[in-house]
Parts: sequence; C-alpha cells; structure tokens
Amino acid sequence: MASPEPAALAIKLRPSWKPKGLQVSNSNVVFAGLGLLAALGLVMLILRIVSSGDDRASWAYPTAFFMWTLSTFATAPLVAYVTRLTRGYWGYPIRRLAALWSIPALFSYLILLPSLATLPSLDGRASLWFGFRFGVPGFADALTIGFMFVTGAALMWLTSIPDLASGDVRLKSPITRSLLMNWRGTTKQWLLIRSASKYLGAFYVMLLAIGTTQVTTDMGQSLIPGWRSGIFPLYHIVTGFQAGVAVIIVTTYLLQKFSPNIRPFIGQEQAVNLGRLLLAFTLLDFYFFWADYVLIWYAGLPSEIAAMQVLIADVYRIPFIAGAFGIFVIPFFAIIFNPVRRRLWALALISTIIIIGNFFDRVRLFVPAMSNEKVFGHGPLSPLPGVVWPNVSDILFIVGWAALMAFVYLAVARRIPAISGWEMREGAMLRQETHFERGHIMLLAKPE
Amino acid sequence: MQEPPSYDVKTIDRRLFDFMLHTPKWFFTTSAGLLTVFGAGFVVFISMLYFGLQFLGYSHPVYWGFLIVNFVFWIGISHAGVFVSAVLRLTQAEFRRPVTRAAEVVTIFSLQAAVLFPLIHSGRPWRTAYWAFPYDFIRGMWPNPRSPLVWDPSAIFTYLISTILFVYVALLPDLALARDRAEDPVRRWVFTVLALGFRGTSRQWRIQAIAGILLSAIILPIFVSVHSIVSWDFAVTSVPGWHNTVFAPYFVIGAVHSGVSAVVTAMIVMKWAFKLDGYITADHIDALARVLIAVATGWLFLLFLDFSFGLYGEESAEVDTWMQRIYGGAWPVLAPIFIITSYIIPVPLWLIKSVRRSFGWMFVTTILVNIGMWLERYMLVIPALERKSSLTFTYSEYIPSISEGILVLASFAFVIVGVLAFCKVLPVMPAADIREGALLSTELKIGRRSVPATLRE
Amino acid sequence: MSSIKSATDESAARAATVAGGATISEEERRAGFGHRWGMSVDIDLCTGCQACVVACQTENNVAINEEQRVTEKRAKSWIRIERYWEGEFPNAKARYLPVLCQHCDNAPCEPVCPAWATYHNEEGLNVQVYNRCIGTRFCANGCPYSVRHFNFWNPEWPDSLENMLNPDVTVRTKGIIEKCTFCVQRINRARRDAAQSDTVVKDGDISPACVQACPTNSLVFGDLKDPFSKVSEAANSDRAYHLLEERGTGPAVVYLKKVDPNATSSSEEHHG
Repeated sequence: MASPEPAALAIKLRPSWKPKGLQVSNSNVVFAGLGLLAALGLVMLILRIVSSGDDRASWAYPTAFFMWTLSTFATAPLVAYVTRLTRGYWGYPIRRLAALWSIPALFSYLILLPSLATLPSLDGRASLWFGFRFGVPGFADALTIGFMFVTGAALMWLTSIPDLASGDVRLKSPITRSLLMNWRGTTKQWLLIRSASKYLGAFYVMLLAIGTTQVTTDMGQSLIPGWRSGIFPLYHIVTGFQAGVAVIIVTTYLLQKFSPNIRPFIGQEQAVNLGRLLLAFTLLDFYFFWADYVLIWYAGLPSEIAAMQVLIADVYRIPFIAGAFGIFVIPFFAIIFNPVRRRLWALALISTIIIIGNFFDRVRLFVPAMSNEKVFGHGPLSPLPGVVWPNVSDILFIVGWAALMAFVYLAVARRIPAISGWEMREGAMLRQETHFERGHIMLLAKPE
Repeated sequence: MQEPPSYDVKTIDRRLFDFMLHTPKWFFTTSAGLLTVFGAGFVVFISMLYFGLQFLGYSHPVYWGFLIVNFVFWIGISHAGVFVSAVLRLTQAEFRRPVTRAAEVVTIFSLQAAVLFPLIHSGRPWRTAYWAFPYDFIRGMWPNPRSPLVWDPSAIFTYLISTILFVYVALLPDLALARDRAEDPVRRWVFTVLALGFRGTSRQWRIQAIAGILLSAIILPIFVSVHSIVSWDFAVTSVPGWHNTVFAPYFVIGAVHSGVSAVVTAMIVMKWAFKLDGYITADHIDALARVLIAVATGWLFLLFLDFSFGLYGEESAEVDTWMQRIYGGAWPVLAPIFIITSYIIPVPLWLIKSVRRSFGWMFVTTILVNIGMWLERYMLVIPALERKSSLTFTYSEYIPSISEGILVLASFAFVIVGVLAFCKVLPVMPAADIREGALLSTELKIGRRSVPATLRE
Repeated sequence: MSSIKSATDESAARAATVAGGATISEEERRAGFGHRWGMSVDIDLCTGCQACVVACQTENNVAINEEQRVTEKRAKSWIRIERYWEGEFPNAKARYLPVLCQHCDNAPCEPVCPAWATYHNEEGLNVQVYNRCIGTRFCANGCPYSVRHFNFWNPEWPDSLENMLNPDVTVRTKGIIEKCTFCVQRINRARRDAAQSDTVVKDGDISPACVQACPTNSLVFGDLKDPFSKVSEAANSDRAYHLLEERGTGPAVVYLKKVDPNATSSSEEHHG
C-alpha cells in the first residue's frame, strides 16, 4: 500500500471538491456474485420461516448470526460517532464508510423477528421482565432493536445529506428535495445536522446498550437455567465494539486497495489509531470474560457451574476455543507489536480473524440457548444437552446472509460516497501544517 | 477550550509557588482541626486494640461494616488520579493540565487511607500487617494466594507505587524549578536532591516525556484491575447480594464517577485556597463535567444491571437483600437519598452549560455525588450480610456505632491533611505542564474567525 | 486383619475392617483417608430443648451468653436451634432446626482465608486453626449457614466457673473466629485410646458433646465412609436432605425430614 504521510489530512481541498461514489474495477462481477448469494440467503430465510416457523431449535444458528451482525455491523457506526465526540482527526476519512454499515445491519432485523416469535412463555423461568407480561419478550425486544436500527440509519442519512445534495437542490424532484432537507448549506442547517447527529449518536449508544441487554437475556441467558451473569450484556457489547473496529479496518483496507477515490485519504495514521483501539478492546474483552469466569469458578454454585460447562468447558468447548483464539489470543499477541499496528494489511488480517472468532463466540453462546429444551426452573441443567452442529441449510443460510451484508454495503456505497466530503473539508480546515522553530508541526483547531 | 491562557512565564512561577513559600494563617488552624479529628480516630483504634472490636456495630452474621464500606469508598476516590492523568494524557486532552497533579496527590493519600481500613478492622492487626504480605516471615507459611484478601494488598500496593512513580516523574521539572527559586538553604538542598539533576536539556525532557507516556500506558491495566479485585472481595463469595458478575466493571465505573467528582471538588477548593484563578478556569470544570455525565450514565446502566440480574435468579435471599436495601432499616430514607444525590440531581444539572461553568454549582453537585457514592457502597456491602441465606432465623441488622463514625471522619481528615501537607512541600500545579500548554496553544484563522488551536507533532 | 499404626502417627489411619470383610487399602490407611466424619440430624426427633447448645458450650469453652449479648445478636453458639413459627394462634406450630458447622466438602469459607487459618483436613473436617487467624472475618461472610463466630472481646467466666473449663480445648482470645469442630478433641482422644488398646475406632466410639447430650438421639455422629455406620444409614434414608443444597457446598451433615402425620399428599415438609 502506498503509504501517504501522517499528514494526509492536510491536503488542501478545494471547497467545490465532492467525493464520488464507489468505483471499483471488476466490481460488476463481484457484485453479481454477491447478489446471487444474497438471494440464496433470502430464500433460505423464507424457507425456514415456512417450514419450521415455530421450532426454536431450527432458529439457533440464525439467531447466532443475528447476534454476530449486532456485534459487528451494528457497532461499526459507533466508532464513527465516537471519533466525532472525541474530535479524533484521524477518524475523518473512515467515518462515512463506517456509518454505511448501518444499512446492511438493518437487513438482519429480518432474522430477528422470526427468532423472537419462537421464544417460550416467561412463566416458570428466570427473565428480566419479572412479573410484566404485556408484549414481552418478543414485541419489546423487536421495538428496541428496531428503534436502534432506525436511529443508525437516520444518523447515516443526516450526515450524508451535504454530500448528496450536489448541484442546485431546486432542480430535483420534490421527494428528493424533502429527503435532502432542502439542503442549501445555511448556518441553521449545518447546526441542525451537527446537534442532531450528536443526540442521535447518544441515543444509538443507549439503544444498543439496552437492546443488547434485552436480546442477549431473552434469547440467551433466560433459556439456559443457571446462566445468570450481570456482566454478559456488557461482554457482548465490548466484544461487539472490538468486532466493529475490526469491520472498519477490513472495510478501510479493502476500499483503499480497490478504489482509487478513497486511496489518497487512508494513511498510516488511520492504521495506528485503529490498531490502538483494537488493542484496547481486545484487552477489555479478556477482562470482561475473566470477571464472569472467576466468579463462577470460585463460588462453585452447581447451577452456574452446569451453565458454564455447557457454554465453555464441556459441551461447546470447540467453538469456545475457536472464539477465544480468534477474539483474544491471536489478536493480542499480534497487535501488541508496533510494526503490526503500523501496517493496514496486517491489521486487516488480524481483523478478519477477529470477525470469524466473534462468529464462533456467538455460536457457542446462542446456539445452546436457542436449542435448549429444558428452559424452565433455575437449574442446574442436568443432564447437559448435546452439542448442536449446523446442518447444510444452516451453512447455506450463514453464507448467503454474510454475502447479503456485503452486497447491500456495496450497493449503498455506489450511491452514497464512502468518503465524507464535508467532513474531509472540515478536517482540512481545522488542521493545518505549519512551521515551528526549525521543524514542521500540525496545528489542531479545537472549536467549541 | 475557548480562550488560551494568557500569562507569561514569570507570572506562572510566582503564583504557583506562592503557597509553598508563604504560609497563610488558615493553614495552621485547618491542620490543627483536622489533626484533632485524626487523633480521635487514632484513639479509637488503640481502644480497638485493647478492648477488641466490641464497640463497633457488628453483629452475627454482619461482620463487615462501615470500615469496609469506607475502604471501598477511598479506593474508589483513588481512581481519579489514574483516570485524569493517564487516560486524559493518552487521549491528549488539553484540559487535563492543571488537574493532573492534584488528582494524583488525592490518589496517593486516599490509597493510603484505604489500605489502613482492612488492617485496623481485622481482629489482630499486629499480625495482619505482615501476614498478608507475600513472603514467608519465619512461620513456615506463605499466605493463601486464592484469597481475595491477598490479591487486594498486591493490587493496591502496585497501584500506590506506580502512582508515586508517576507523580515523581511528572514532578521532576517542577522540582527543578523549585530548586532554582528556593531562597532558604534547607529547601534548596531538599529540592536539589529530589530533582535528580534535572536541567532541562532536550535529552532529559525526552526521557521524562517518554517515561510519563510509558507509565500512563502501564498504569491503565492497574486502573481497571484494582477496583475489580476489590469488588471480587465481595463477588467471588456466594453471598446472594454480592455474587453478581457485573460487580467488577460496576465498581470501576463507580470509582471513576466518585473519583473525578472528588477531584473537581478538590480543584475548586484549591482554586479558592491557593488563589489559582487564572489556572483553574471554567473550561476545565466544564470539560470534566461533560466526562462525568457520560461516566455517570454508564454507572447508572451498570446499577440497573446489578439490580436486574440480582433479582433475575429469584433466589429468596437475594430478593430479601434487595428488599432490605430499599425498605429495611433506615433505607426508606437513605436509598432515595442515594439515587438522588448520585445521579438525579447532579447529572441533569450538568447538562446545563451555565451550571457546568459555575464553580459554586459544581462544588455542590460533586459533593452530593460523593455522599451518594458513599451511601452506594454502604448499600452494596451491608444489607447482603443482613439477609445472607434462606435460613431467615439468622437475619440481623447492622447498627453503626460512634466509633466507626469517628474512624470514617478520621480518614477524611487524614486525606485532607495529607493533600495539604503535600501542597505545602511540593508544587501542586504542574508548572511545566501548564507552561507547555501555554506554549502549544495558539490561534488558527479560518475564514473570518479565529479558533483556538493546539500545536502537535 | 489390619495392622495398627503407632499412637504417634498423626494421619490416624485405621483399617476399618467391618463385618463382611470390606477393608480399606494399606495406601488409604497411610494417607489417612480412612474416615470422613459426618453427622445426621433427625428433625422429626428434635424437640428444641437446646441441651446440645449447652453441652457444646460447656465442652468447648464457649463464652457465656448474657441477655444483652443475645439482644444485640452477638451470642456465640457453635450449634444453634433455629425456631420457625408456622401458622397463627391458636394453631401455631414451632419447627426446630439445629444448625451447626456442616464441614462442607466444597466449603465457601476455606479458599477466602488469607492466612490458611481454615482448611479441609483429610478426614473431611473443616479445621479452624486459632493461632493463624488474624480475624478478617471473610470466612464468616462466606458461610451461608452463618455458623462462624467472631470473638469481639476476651471472654470472661464469672467466679469459679473458670475451673470448669475443658483443658482439652483452647480458650480463644479476642479477634479470632471460632466454630464447631465436631469436637475434634474427642475424635483425637478416641483415636488415641483405640491406638493404646490396640483396637480400631468403632461406630459410636466418638460422640461430640451435642450428640452425647441429645435426649432423643436426634443427633448421630459417625464415619460417612463406613457403609455400616448409623450416619451412613441415615444418609441413605428416604428422608435425607442437605441444608441449602442449591449452594453446592457438599455438607457432611445430613438432615432427616420431619414426618408430618397430617400431611394429605406424599410430599413431606421442608424447612426453609
């Protein structure tokens, strides 16, 4: 990869510069291929609804897949939001490509709904809903996650308007005009976008936290008697953040490799900072896992030990080990080295491993939950259930839907530029290179 | 940061070293009063050695009380130091500059106060002092590494030593300044020794900066692990109100909440006491308040997780524990006070910009936060012991005693006296850091506007 | 036949050759895995008379509990009778539950002691070593049965009651934890006597003070490893249960459920 200097952002951008949509050579072949697989995924979903719509066990792997998209693609836009909050200048080129992931993530909602419909009654088993019975758990979970996805999409839409509204807005059709908020670039409109994106981002974080708590409990913990862990929603969120950063790294790498529009803006600065984030989240992953495990091991309560044996030590130990290596062991021992963090391709390789490891982790958590029949009572679960391997239709489902995610992303990136023009111009304004004593230095503006 | 600080180098030095070189009258009266309170605590401790723990509020089976609550509280406060110094340094937040030294000093003394409590509340403190140490001192036995009470001293002393190192490294340029400004020979000699020959050459500056960054990175895992280990004192047991996996991050984020609030309180008091008006500005407390909003909201979410997953298991003892925490004893009054002072009053107020920029409001709200967080520690620790298992015959109540109250107050006195003493002997504002901030700040013209900016490599 | 080890052998291994020829191997004898002391408590027989409490207090030099100590909930009793009321007057019934240290196999009090003052010995006893205890009271917090007691003061016996102290048992100072030991001094004495008279410890040779004092023989002590002992018989009974079973502590004390003559279904009453 041609490695632009860390001062890549100091490119003086003309005010009239606007980024173009994704232009990738040979994209049509890739696009068509992904489209076919995506169609396959949709077909598998419909088949599953039709054939085993109320059999919870057949939704085990689709649920794991949904949790995986919740961890990877739904959290990627959050990195965009956080860099906006903390005014990280290195984040400017990657914000839009991260935010674009909220659209594919939206599609995974179609998997969530049928899965929620198969959940058993709340009576006689532990749940977060206590005595409350109206619309729970399916409707309430669907509502929260739905709001979350809508907020993410709205965030993405709002921050894209200045780029999409090229040319004279008055020449466009009424629908387009209102979608683009009649964008004319007035101060009021800019302030609206800024403050709205701040609040929407905050809501997105809160809805992700609450939504994750709800779905991981309703489709995870409450289906395995004895699995009682207050930290588990947090573990899911933090492993999600790690996977979200990994998704951004992979997307950034692929886009800058195959798209000449985007290549000039991605440099070592992005790699180094993303690598640091990835390392921090990798360490946090281990911390949250350990906080869970040490309590279960130390107190030795039979119901918790039985649940732990299902998820970690005994029944699903193969996906656990795969997940542990993918999420923690390999990334940790790779990213602690500076040379790895400086190279985007190395980070992209590690990130792919993380994304796959995250998938195995979700499998080992949610497949036993959704396929467990003895959901009532408080444990210990005895005898331990057997491991549920994926069958052919599960594998086709997963492959198809993964392709669907990529397909939707590419489709969206063709329309909405993956580099955020207005933010790049803002970054160029706020960051300039200047002389200091005998050397060069960056000047970072910090407006309120 | 809206306005760059506009003072020159000479003014910085004179103002910052003022308190060290000239002692105002209130210093003596305040110190005398605080030392009296600390002395009262010491007397109580001696009587505990002689009479046993009979005058404290323990009963069977509530064997841990205010002293452990206080221990957890002070460990919580100590987290401010690392957060403000290490985290804000690594994220290059400019508003940290005046705050770092004060935060680290509060950390050092609150850690020492915290460590005293497990020592004095044990049945035989003269033995606890060296038996928990990881070494075989003639008994032929090492301590039990599986006990959280052995993990605690390791973690806390690691934290203490790292923080002292951290403060020292950051102090070096200021010690050199003090050495150059000192007028009497005793002070000059002391500072000469402590400054380790720091002369401000570029090599020394580079070493000092790298050491600071390395220590910041190394101290971060300690920051997360110390309060997690303290939380595991409670969570690894099978006591129903304690055995919740969310305790580790819950305690850590509560520590950041209470610690940063304590630092804001300390900053405002220092600004008033040492007349540091240009150095601690509304911008600093504004920025810290915004951090606090995020941290406090995260804390509230984790409290919600603790509550929900506590009752999730529907275990009778755990339900009884939560009933006790809300309806039992004095809790119908204390529990609402706790949630109101920790979150419901401060955080909505902090959303208002004029409140964030007002020293009076910030002082009041941050003190409220710490009252609430002390009550939170009390709420977590003691009701769980009062309702320990489904053998309801053993249910008991904890009635705090005056001795424990005196010891708690004595710990506050200890920390305040410690901080005051430090400020008297060593510079409390990182002069070098502030000078660096002043040098690096400038303005950038964008169009017709001038925007404050920072220089960075 | 078994060979008898010398009286100085601390592992106190005895071959329990019982009628029928079941023996414990030589290795097990040497390693001291010959016994696993346990107790059974028959709730059906317990009348709540508290003779066991008094006997234990006398045998083990437990401090005298004055009324004030009881009201401030600092009374020390290594075995206590819990009383639960059921029903309303005039049909109120009292249910009695003797609770003592369960000497758990998976004891929550053992891993948490920083000074190794409590550990599990080879005979299944949860041992409390007074001179190692520094009084952190972490073990007392962990115990779900709340059987551990802390000495808040130096105990005092009025007048000549000091002459009644049992010389076989340490008098504990302030600042340390104490609890039921299954009268380990009596266990050790029975072993020494058996060694000196060249015999083995038989079922019924050892009875802790509470077992000895119980008028209804509700408390039975013995070796859970001995399949023919009375405790093992009780452990295999239909009525057997453990206290707080869901905690997974693996207690050595077996409780036998009370038989309610008025119960209409076949399910029996529980305590809780």
